[in-house]
Amino acid sequence: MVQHVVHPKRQFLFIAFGGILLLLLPLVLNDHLMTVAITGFMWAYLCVCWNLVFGFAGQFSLGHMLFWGVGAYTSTVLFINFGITPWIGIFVGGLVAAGFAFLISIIILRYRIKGVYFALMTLAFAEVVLGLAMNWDYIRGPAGILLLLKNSPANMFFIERYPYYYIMLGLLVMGLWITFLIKKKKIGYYLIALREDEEAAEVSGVPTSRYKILIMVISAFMTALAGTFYAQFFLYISPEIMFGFGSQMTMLIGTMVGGAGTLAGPVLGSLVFSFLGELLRSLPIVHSREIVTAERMVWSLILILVIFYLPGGLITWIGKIKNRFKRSQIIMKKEV
Amino acid sequence: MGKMKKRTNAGLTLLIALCIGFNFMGSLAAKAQAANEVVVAALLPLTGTVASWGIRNDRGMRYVFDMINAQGGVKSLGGAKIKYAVSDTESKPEVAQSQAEKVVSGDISCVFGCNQSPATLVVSQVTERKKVALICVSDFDPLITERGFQYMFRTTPIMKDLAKTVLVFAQAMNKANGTNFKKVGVLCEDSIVGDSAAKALEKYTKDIGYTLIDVVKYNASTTKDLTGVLSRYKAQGVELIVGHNKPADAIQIVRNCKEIDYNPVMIGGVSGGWVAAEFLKNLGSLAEGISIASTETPDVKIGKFAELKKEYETKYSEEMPSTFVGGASGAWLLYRALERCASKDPKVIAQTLRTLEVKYGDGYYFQQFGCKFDEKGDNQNASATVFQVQAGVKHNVFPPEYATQKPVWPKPKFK
Repeated sequence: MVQHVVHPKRQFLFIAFGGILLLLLPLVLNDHLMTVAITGFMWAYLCVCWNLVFGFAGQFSLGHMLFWGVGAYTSTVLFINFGITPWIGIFVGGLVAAGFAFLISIIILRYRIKGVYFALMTLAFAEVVLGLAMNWDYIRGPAGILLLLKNSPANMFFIERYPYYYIMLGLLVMGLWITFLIKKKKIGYYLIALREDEEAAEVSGVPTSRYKILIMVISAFMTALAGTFYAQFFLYISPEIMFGFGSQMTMLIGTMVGGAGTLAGPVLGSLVFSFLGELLRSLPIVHSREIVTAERMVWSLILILVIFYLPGGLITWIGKIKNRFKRSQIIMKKEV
Repeated sequence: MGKMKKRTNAGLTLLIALCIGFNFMGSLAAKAQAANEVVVAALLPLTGTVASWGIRNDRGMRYVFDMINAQGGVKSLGGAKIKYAVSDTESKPEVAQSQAEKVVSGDISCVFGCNQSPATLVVSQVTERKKVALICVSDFDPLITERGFQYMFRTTPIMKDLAKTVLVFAQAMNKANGTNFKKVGVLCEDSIVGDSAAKALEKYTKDIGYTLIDVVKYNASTTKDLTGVLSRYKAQGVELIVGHNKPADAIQIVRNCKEIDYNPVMIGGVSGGWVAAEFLKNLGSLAEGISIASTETPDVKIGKFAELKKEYETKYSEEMPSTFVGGASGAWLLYRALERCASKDPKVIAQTLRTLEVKYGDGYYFQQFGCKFDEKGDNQNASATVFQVQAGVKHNVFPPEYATQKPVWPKPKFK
């Protein structure tokens, strides 16, 4: 058996090249493509956040939009009503969301809620907050909050798109870095043990409850940061957008299609959906409802195919191709 | 190392190809401008929760632009054709923003959108930055025109105007018939527009001097039955039920009233689902005597309205909705602006729109009562009318100058 080890220098060069490319990308992108890239990175980041809870710890949360919305509303309310810059608000939002995650986790653990009931419980919490937000005049109920279009870097408002691009790219890199660290450290092994067999993990001495809470809190904090970013970028938030189920679906599909429990899988899945969706929209054909419906059908088909043939996500497919390529290289070397 | 270089090159080539592909649409738009065409884009929800409105809006614009092109295009621009393209916002504001960035990156003359207030709020920031006029023909959220934007134009009346109209109608009916029904129950969905409607209905109920029994806002996505609220209103003696609701909810309200044998003096719908094509289709005779405040004038005798209505109903086998009328009116307004300014420049078009006046019934402009924008970009001539369903047909009943039938008061009991 031939063992193939990725050359660290090659890996470093690949990452460095990718990094430089991403840093220089705004030079060639117009506003529209910048928005596509920013939105794509945002969804990818959210998938990375959700992946921590589902992919690593096996906790099927359906209420992550709650943390996203809490982040957005906290920083926005702090800015509008108290003049606190969103640069600070973003972290306050993260802390508030982490607090919510802690409370929810405590309640869930107290009543030993697991599996499908865990999913339903998290969804129920998000629905409760949606209902409250819809009827709370302090945050302008369903009308939502509109931020004014202006250039004020001190308050995270930019007329140009590129500052948003770098902020979102930074968040995504940070999300991946945290995931990488978690994966490599003791916490990662504990979480995987928890995901694979909770009882066995407990018997082996893994403090499962503590790690469930910890990963939920970390994930919620990170998710909330994207909420603030959404508010600052789109300049409009409403309960329906922030606490509605749509964002949760995007996190779920991106992660599942890309590959849950992996580092790059959620990013891959999410970007495939974002960029190919945009590419389809850009086809030089007359846009009609039928075409749009056909697009949706294509997406659904991709999802079904991935679930059937690549249960580990697209990332496993890339892995297979990579392995095949390496094998052919080795054979070629032997022949030579 | 050589192989890695090859892979790197391949990746770079793919990226450049993608960028070229994405920019292809922009260059197409530029070519269209060069070929004596005026490029106009609409950002509408063709899929998603509010798709039914966007689709009808699109039909209206497409109809008028096709008509103009068939009749020789924009004469002041040497017969330039109007190249109209619609992009789907998927009923999502973030997609709307992305689509807006795309359309304004080309040589665009004007944008229409978005038949969904949150999407319009987001898109207007893009068009404002690019100094391209955004014409909104169907969104009611007051915030849309309250930001001091120079390139935002709204032709439709806002929710408070519609809410006021339905209550003023009740007041006029009380006066004309010597009745004194004044116990009002408000029942609205909890959307942005529903919330605006509830607040306006509450305000005008008090201003007119009626008795407000309660204001109920329900979750439109989870509430499937309104018997509970309606039973309470029946017990509290509510005489006038008013609200803004989605199509399914408007239908449900009427059905629930029938089920609990509750016959209020007036069921007053405020646009939204009450004017949807499916409302009358689903309810049939149950819709008799229901009063609806709308931008729609079902049988007004003005200009080519009757001809347009007949054509629409033959083609699509449904009633001509206000969203279609809005689309057609917006398209006609732009045509008038183009004829007047003789320019494809978006700034010149926006400047022209600021001073343009289009009369009610001029060409295909059927949003009452004509259009003239104020300094905020709202249509100062915009107003609502009330129509009633009588013998299965919608008739204008208020204000009297546009009434085609005498209003029924009180609403007949359910059979």
